[in-house]
This record gives sequence, structure tokens and C-alpha cells, in this order.
Amino acid sequence: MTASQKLLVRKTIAHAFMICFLILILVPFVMVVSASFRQGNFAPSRFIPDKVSLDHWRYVFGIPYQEVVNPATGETRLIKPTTPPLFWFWNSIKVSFIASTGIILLSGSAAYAFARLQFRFRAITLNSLLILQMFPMVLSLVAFYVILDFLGQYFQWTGLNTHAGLIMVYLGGISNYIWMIKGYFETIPPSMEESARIDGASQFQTFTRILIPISLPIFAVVFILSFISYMSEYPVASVVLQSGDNWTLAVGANSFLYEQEKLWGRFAALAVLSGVPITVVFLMCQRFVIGGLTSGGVKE
Amino acid sequence: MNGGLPIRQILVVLVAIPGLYLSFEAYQAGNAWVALAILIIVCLGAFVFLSESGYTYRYLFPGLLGFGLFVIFPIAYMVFLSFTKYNSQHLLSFDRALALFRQETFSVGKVSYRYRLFALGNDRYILYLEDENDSAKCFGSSPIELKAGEQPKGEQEPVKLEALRPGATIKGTILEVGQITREKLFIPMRGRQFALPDDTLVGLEGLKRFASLQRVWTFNPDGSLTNNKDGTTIRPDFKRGYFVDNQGQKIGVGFRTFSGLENYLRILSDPRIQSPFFKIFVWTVCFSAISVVLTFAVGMLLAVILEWKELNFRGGYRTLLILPYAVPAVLSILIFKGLFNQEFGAVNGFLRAAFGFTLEWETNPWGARLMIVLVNVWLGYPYMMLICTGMLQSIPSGIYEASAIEGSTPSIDFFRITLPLVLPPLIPILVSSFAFNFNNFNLIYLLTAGGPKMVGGGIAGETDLLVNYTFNIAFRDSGTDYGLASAIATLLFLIVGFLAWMNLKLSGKNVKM
Amino acid sequence: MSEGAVDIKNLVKTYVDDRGRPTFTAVKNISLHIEDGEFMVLVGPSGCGKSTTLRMVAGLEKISSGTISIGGRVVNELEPKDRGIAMVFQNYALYPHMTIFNNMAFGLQLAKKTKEFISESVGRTSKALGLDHMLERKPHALSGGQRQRVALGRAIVRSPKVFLFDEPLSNLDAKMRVQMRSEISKLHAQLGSTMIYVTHDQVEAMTMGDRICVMRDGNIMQVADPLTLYRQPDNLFVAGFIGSPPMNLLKGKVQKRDGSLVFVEGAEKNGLTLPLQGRLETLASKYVDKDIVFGVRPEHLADQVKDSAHIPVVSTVEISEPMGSESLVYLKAGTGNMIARIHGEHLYHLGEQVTIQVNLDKVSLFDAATENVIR
Repeated sequence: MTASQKLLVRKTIAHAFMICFLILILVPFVMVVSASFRQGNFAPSRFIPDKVSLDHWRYVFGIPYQEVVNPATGETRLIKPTTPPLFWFWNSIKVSFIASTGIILLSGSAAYAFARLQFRFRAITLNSLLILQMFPMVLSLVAFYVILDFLGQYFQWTGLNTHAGLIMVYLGGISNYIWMIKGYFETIPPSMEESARIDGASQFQTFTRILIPISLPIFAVVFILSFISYMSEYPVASVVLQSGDNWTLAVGANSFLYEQEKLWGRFAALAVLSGVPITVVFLMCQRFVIGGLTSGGVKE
Repeated sequence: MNGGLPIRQILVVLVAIPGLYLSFEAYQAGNAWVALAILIIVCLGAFVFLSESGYTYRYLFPGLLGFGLFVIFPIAYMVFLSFTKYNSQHLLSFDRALALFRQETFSVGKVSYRYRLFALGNDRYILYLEDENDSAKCFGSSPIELKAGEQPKGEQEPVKLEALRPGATIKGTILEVGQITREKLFIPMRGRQFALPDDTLVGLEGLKRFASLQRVWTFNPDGSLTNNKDGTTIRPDFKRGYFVDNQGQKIGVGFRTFSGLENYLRILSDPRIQSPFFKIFVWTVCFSAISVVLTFAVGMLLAVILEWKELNFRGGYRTLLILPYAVPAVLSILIFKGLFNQEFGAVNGFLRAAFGFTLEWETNPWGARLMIVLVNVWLGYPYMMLICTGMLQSIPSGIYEASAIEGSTPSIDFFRITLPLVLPPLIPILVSSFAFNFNNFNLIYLLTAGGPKMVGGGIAGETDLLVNYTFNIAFRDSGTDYGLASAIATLLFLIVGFLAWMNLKLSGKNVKM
Repeated sequence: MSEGAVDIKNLVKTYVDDRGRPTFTAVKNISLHIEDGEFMVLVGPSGCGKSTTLRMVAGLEKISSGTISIGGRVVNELEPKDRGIAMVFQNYALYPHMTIFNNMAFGLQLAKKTKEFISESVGRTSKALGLDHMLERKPHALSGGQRQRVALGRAIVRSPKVFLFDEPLSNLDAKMRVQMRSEISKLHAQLGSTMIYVTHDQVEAMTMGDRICVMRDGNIMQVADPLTLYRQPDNLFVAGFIGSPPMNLLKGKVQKRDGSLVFVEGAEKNGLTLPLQGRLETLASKYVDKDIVFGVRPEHLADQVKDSAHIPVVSTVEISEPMGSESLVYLKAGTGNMIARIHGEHLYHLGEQVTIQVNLDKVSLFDAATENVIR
């Protein structure tokens, strides 16, 4: 076989593999969209729904609709959610957004101290941060409960069953992000900040006016990654948030799947409704994320 | 800062005030240690932000405060709990248990009283008692607070009753028994004791009467309690967490107690714990290792294909391939739960139509494990793919031209050049992926809830990870063993902490002094 | 045809964009025959297509049209490993994670040679290159020159029919470059294999090549041995490219004055006037009143009369660079500038008037329009 024939064969095989793999990967998405439009609450199993219905979508938006209770008599009843699931989506966005912003502020300033400043215990603190963060947040729930219960007694808006309380718990997870941002800061030569100091800027100003604007890419990456992880966080949110209208998306979505009766249709509608915008935003920002993740390298 | 408002100082004051308030309130409520801790934090914060020598710590303070509160404190608390006996039978602190004993009363004598409850509004009521045998003897209380359905906290002084002249009128609206039930006032009422002018105690007996009570237990100076009904004595056994009588029988409610290494020993020796613990540990390690290997293999394969310059639509392929990473995991996991549904899901539907058989994704432990690994690979390969892409792009392309001239093929290139070059910097990533999957609570909880249940393993499930098992021990109804859970959690922490430490050493990220 | 001869016929390389539309033609239909055992240098400025040509011989670039034959066999469709070639890259392309031994052994291992054979070959080659005491080290522990030797060794060990060099010395410092140049030349003398060597440095080309192929913008300007290129450049480009400092090229016209032909530089009144005698007269006769370029090398300008073939030119010194045994003198004569390489230790000063003797025997005349030499 000639070189160009070989090349063609290799290309064809590669394309075929890619397409098959992609089909396999994307099947779940097709299924869930189809399930959201399918009448009834069956587990996702078809590409095209047999009976199309918008009921699940109405439910998710909080629009009341009539559901047939007894097909024989045609008796219907009004279905209307106490909390429109859309609300849960909004809750999640609120919590994740605020928490991500807080994370950037906290881990960014801490990373600055580790990257640019000298102080006692710097090495120990840094290493300890990494090691201590390994303890799974799930198991700290008892302690979280105790803390939030205590706080809630004195400051009503920060206790259990509040978003502020949940955000505060999330803000403890700064360790990995500190390492990411610190790593990025260390690739920036300090000469620009030093030059600014000579020109009369204070330490803080070199941080806010020079380093931060240059580091926007890593902040974008940290924001996106933390945002997505908070969107998906389940155990802590399910324990801290107790009332239905406070739930985040994760808790709310799971609530459709009771042990006895799994409401797949409603779940599917909520999943599509909330999943699509997040995915789209992520894809728009993928340049940043990929850049942030692929900046590792091989040593020559 | 030159001139202008001393913004920093003002901010410090504004933030310190609520902190001091919190400390004060905590002290008032009896939590002296908590009050002290808060005070220290506030002072530390003020020092850091006001004094010049604390400058560098200003950047660290907010982050470390959050970290300390929500990471360090829970760990310390967990470790502490692991050395205590703290479960559903030993839920109360020793003081609370004592308080319960103190509150135990029994009725003596034959005097009983009819009663009426008068509502004054705002959760305030007046109790009126009338001797059943002598209606001339009647008593009333001053307004007391009764919150609907509320269990009384701590020990409260008996409410003093005053003698009333017969026929005296009392303010407030009379409540019928039915109303009292509806308002859920029996619970708080039952928890209170009332003292007649002659110091006899009376309390609610049943629903319709009050009877004179006496405390069951007398507190002796040596720490033991004497039962006033039958004269027996019990002593607190701090080892077993119970009060015991002279024969060693457990009496009354249990209390939390320091138990030393007992929880840890249970893990090793108690067959109900040790067997599932060991199985779950093995599964956790295997699951993490397999996940890392598979996501890396798939991710690397895709990265290599995508780096091939001759291939068209590389950008499009890459965007589509990242999708599993872009969609919030919680939604994807639940979608897969539906797809793998044993009776109706798409996977079994496809298998049935194409091959004529189905797999037991939910009821068979191995089916469940296979499902979990498959879903985890779906979720995890994009991250690996992106990391590998970065690695591949940093290899100078000239090397492959040289190897092509020397007679290499793509697969030889991969195994003898690419992989050996790329693995060393990848090891920290692989180790942290291992650690992540070791504690991958969400995946198991949402996908299988740990199921199917392990036979003879108590609340353990066949697909539970260590972290799920621990969670169930602590929080599921049939368990609530915080002490044991904390011990397992501590062990878990030691394992992943060790992994993290090893990772630091390997990646050379260890920060030198 | 012999084993290592390389025959390039009508080779074209055109780059296309994503949609297949042509964007840039790097090699525009060149033909070149390289004898078995010859050291052929491809030289030219950046972007002239020399590297592209080399890579097409290696099989690293696809051929747009034309054929390349090695040892009489057309290799267009052959993979690089089947062509019997070895290549030394500009940035060495060593395998960073392998020891020096393994770097050199890799190709032999792929060819499934026995362990003894590999050990012996690598041992022999590394000894010849002075690398035998660092076989267990990795590339990052070696200097640039040592790394290049390893790259060389890697090529030698495979006993290829043709060696390809892609600017191998560009990344080395001046001293190391000189050393490696002679080592490669010695290697050629020893092995006698065909070697195709790409460089942009004309000094390297002149000192190493049996024949030199001068390229520009994807075309071959001239192929000849170094001396011929030096003495008889085919066109203005080659004349100006070969030789350092470059040949003096004066633009002007041929005019008839008083029955004989003269070259008037700048074609102006105060331009330099040089009589065209003998051989030059014959050449210039077809170019009366036409634009030509008068070319004479700096080393053919003397300050003392040698013989009747010299023509005096009065000139003023602008810059003088004394180099010890000779000086490079930058002169202004008429309306033109010239560089003269004058032997001797005399120090020339700015503004000094010097009478330069032009050696007419060594002068080349070029057609200004076609840029070709007038023969």
C-alpha cells in the first residue's frame, strides 16, 4: 500500500471511530430530551416519544395543567407544583454565582499571599491546605449542622435552611483553587509589579491594578469550574436546605425520583431546561477552560 | 494611606461589632468555649487588619477563616467524636442525661387536681388547679410561656403556684381539652413541673388531672443516684455510657462518653462492621483505580486522535467530546439512572432488541458495579482528554519526524515515545483523580444509593464507597452512630491525606521553606 | 544508476488551505541530479524552498507533482522508513526520555537487529564521535554540540544510502559550528555516502559541498561546484550570494566612446567610466546603449598594479575595517560604492583618496533586465 493510501485508510478508521464514540456518548442527551416530551413518567427508553406531551414542561415552568386521572371516566385534576422547579434552577444559579464569586475573592487573595509574599509558616500552611481539603465534605455534615444551627439563632439569615448558610459552607473549599491561582501567578514575572512599586504604587495596588487584570484567564477558569461543581453538589445542599422553595437544582431534580414512583418525565424536562443553558455557557467559555487545563507540560 | 477616610479602620470596626455581639450572646447562652473562640477570632482579625506587622496575613485571613471554620473544625470535631460513644442509644451529653433523671417524677399520695388552662395570648397561659376532693383548695400560676409542640430545653425551675381564694376570677380565655390538644400544648405542659405553696411538686398526669409528684431520684454527693421508690442506687458507668445498678444492669437513658479506641477496635473486630468494612474498602480502592485507568486510557486515546493534524473537523469533535464535562454531573448521573433502569430503561431495551438478553443493573451487585464504572468513565474522560491534550502539545513535533525516518509506526510512537514522556508529569493528576474517586459520594448516592443491599452487612450496600457507608452509619435512621462513623471517617481521611501528601512529594510541588 | 544517487525531476510543492485551494508554492518545478556519494549543498535565503525540498526527499512533506528517485527507484509513495535515508535535524530531535545509547539504538531496535549487532554498532559509532563515555546519560545532560553528535550518530548507525541534513549547525555557537563542519566533512570522506545538506550560510556551503545548488523563491538559480559558482556565477543572485563580502555590482550602461566600448556607471555624467577591453569588449558588444551590471569581487580590487589587465579607479575611502593582514575598505567612486579587500597592513583613513586597480580578467557582466550573466 502506498503512503497516501495508508493515510486515507487511517483517516477513515479515525473518523469512523470518532463518530461511533460520539453517538454512544450523546445518546443520553437525546434520550432525556425525548423523555421530557413524552407523556407519562417512563424511564428514558426511546429516541422518539410515542405520545408527545408538553405536560412536563408546563409543570417545570409552574403552569397548571389538567391531568387525566381516570381514563375511563375522563376525570381530570389540576396539577400545579407548589414550587415551580424553575425556581430551583434559579436558586442554584444564585447560590453558585455568589459562592463562585466569593471563592475567587478568597482564594485569589490567599494565592497572592502565597505567591508573592513571604511569611512564617508559608510552606506548612500551603501543604496543610492541600492535605486537609482531602477530607470529604459529606462527612463534615454534623459539624456544619452544629455551626449553622448556632449561627442561625443569632443571625436569622445565615442559619440552617438559608442560602447564605449554604454559601458559607461552600466557601470553605478554597484549597484547590488557591493552588491553581498560585500556580498561575508564579508564571507571571514579578518585574511588572516591581516596576509599579518603584513608580509609587502600594503593595495592594500592585495586586489590584497589575496582577489581577493580567490574571483574568485563571479567574475565569476558577469561576467556571467552581460554578459547575456547586451546581452539582448534592449532599450538603440536601441537608442544609430543608424547605422545598429553598432547594437547589440538584436536590430538586432528585426529588422527582421517589423510591416508589419515579417521575422521569418531569425530571427530564427540568434536566433539559437547566442543563442546556449551563452547557451552552460552558461551551462558550471552553477556550478558557481548555487553556487553563492544558497548560501543563513535558520537560525537555 | 495618605489622608482621606481611614476606610480600613472603619471597616474593621463595622465587622467586629457583630462578632463581639455573637460572642457575648454565646456566653449568655452558656457556651463559654464558643464565646471564647469567637472572641479570639475577632481579636485576631482586628490585629491583622489594623497592625502593620500583620500586613501579609490580611490577604490570608478571610480565606483561612472560612477554611478553618468549615474544614479544620469539622475534622477536629470528627476526630474528637471518633473517640466517643455517640449513637442513638447514647445521644445525650452526661449533663443532659442527668437532667432527664432529675426530671423524672412519680405521683405520690392520693391528692389530685382538676385543672384549667387560661390563654392570655402571645403563647402565655395561666394554670388553674382545683383539688378534686376539696374545691376550696385552688391555686393559680403566674403567666408562663408554653410554645406549641415545643419540648422543654434543659431543666427548668418548677413554676410556683399561689393559693387562690375560692371563686377568684382569672384573666384569659379558658381552653377546652380539645383545644389544648389542637394547640399541641400538652407537650410543653408535660415537661413542666409546678410547685404548690408548700413545695410539693405537682405535674400533669394523663390528660385530665394533675397529681402530686415526687422526684424519683435523689442526687447523692458521691455522684450516685438513689431511687426513692425502691431505694436502689445507681451509679454512672462512664465506660459503658449508662447508669448501672449494683448488679450491673443498665438503668435509664444512656449518655455520650469517652470511649477511647473502642470505635476503631469495633471496625477491626466486630464482624457486623469488619466484614462489610473490608469489602467496601476493597471495592472503593478497586473502583478508584479502575476509574483512573479507564478515564485516562479513553482520554489519552481521544487526545492522540485529536492531535493528529491530518484529521478534519478536529475542533468540532473536541467540542462535542467535552459535553459530558459541560453538563452538571448531578443531572447526568440521574439521567443514567433512568437509562439503566432494569425494566424500562433504554440500555436494557437496546440489549433486549439487539441481543435478546438484559443485564441486572440494579439487583445484581456486579451489574451495578459495571454500571457505576461505565457512568464514571463517561463523566471523567473529558477532563483526562483535556489534560492529555496539553501534555501532547508540549512535545516537540520534530521527535515524531525523527522516529518516522527511523522506521517507527504510530503505535510504537505512542508506547515508546509519547507515553514515557507524558506519564511523569501526569502522575500527580492521576493520584488526585484517584483521591477524588475514592470519595465520590455523589455518584454512588444518586445512581444506586449504594444498592443492592449487602447481605448480612447491616446497612452496607454492595456498591457503597467508604464515604457512603460512613454517611449511612451517621445519618440513616437505622444507625445514627456518630462515634463509629467518625472513626471510619478519620481512617478515610488518613488514607486520602496520605495520598495527597504522596502526591505533593511526587509532583515536587512541595513548597520549600 | 548507483545505490545512493538521488534524482529530482520537475518537483513542485504547493500548499493548500483547508478547502484545497492553493495558497503558496514553495518549490516551483525544480530538477536536480545528485550523484552517488556526492555532498550536495542546498543553499539560499529563508523561504527559498531548500528545506521543503529536503523534506520531500525525506518523505516528511507530500509531493504536489514531480518525482523523486533514490537509487533509481521512485520513492514518491514510499514511507520515510522505506527510503533508505537518515536525517539530522536543526534542533536535534533527540528522544528526551531515552539514554544516549537508546537514542542511537532505537532505529536498529525497530529494524529488529540483534542485541549484539546493536551494541556493536552503537559502540563503534559513539566511539568515533567521542560519545562512548556518556552513553547512559540523557539528552538534557548534554551540551548543544554533544547533542548534535548524538543526532549524527543516530543517523550513522543505520547505514543509510542518503544522509539528509536540515541546517544542523544553526543552533550552535560559532566555535562549535566550525568544529562540527569539519567533522561532518571528515565523516563524508570516511563513509562516502550521498549527503544532501541544507543551509542558509554560504560559508558552510562553500567549505563543505562537492556541488552547491543555489535556490531562491522556489527556483534553482545555479548548480555547480564551489569554484565555478565563485568564478562564473550564472546570474546576479548567485553572484551576490556567494562570496563574503559580496561581489560589487555596479549598474550602468554600455556606451561607445571614441570607437571603444566603455561602461558608464550610473549612466550619468560624473559616473564611473570603465573601459571594456578584450574579452569584455566582445561580451559587451551586443549591449551597446543597454543597461548592464558590472560585477567585480572585493578581492579582485588591488591597490597596486599587477599587470595590464588592471584599470585604475580613483576613489575615496568611507569606512576602513582593518583585519590584520588585510583591510576591508568601503569606497566611493563616481556615483557608486564599492568594497575592496586589500592585502597588506596599511591603515586607510576616512576621506583618503585611493587609486584602486580593477582586475578586468575577473569581471563579470550581467544583463540588467534578465539578471543573467553575459557570456
